Amino acid sequence: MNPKVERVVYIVVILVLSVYLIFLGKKQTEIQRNIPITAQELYDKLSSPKLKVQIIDVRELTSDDDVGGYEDSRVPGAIPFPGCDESKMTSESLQEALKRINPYAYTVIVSTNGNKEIFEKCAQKFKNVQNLQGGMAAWQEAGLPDESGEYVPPKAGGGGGCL
Amino acid sequence: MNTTERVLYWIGIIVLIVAIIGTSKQTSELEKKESSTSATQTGGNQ
Repeated sequence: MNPKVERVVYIVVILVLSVYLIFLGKKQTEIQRNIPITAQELYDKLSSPKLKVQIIDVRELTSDDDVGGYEDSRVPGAIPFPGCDESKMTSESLQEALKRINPYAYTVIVSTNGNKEIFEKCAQKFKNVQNLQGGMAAWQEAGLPDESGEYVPPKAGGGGGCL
Repeated sequence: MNTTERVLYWIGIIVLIVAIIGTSKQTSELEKKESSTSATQTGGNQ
């Protein structure tokens, strides 16, 4: 075979395979979006230093209900983003939190009870996202560790995993 | 086209095929999980 033709054939094959791989990756991300993650699965992911998970807590900062608000009890390392609404991010610490939100990172949305409507609204802002099944209520029911208090940005140089 | 170049192309093709097989397996597992999740939710809503 002519070397030029052979080279073109190899490049075309590699391109076709690459495009198919990208298609599969996007499909996987779309499917994953429809499957909520359980509290235990999220805990396992957070425990692994190899996996980087961005947790977005869409609850209000304080709440009178049983579950409480972000500052009462939250998944360790969660970033506050009340209602997934930038206009609510008024204080200095919330502005700092907003700067740290990465729309391209693998993200888990935490609401009070895993509300699907809030998740769908918030999921539009992220590329690779899952809903915490049962929300913060499920995390608390499972007896998993939590944090409280005002949001404090992580120190520079911290690795993946928050537990 | 020399042998080294040909070998490199084949390595690239094999790596891509392995990645496609791995991703396909993960995707089909996720599809199964998705269908079982939606079945559970439908059952739970009844």
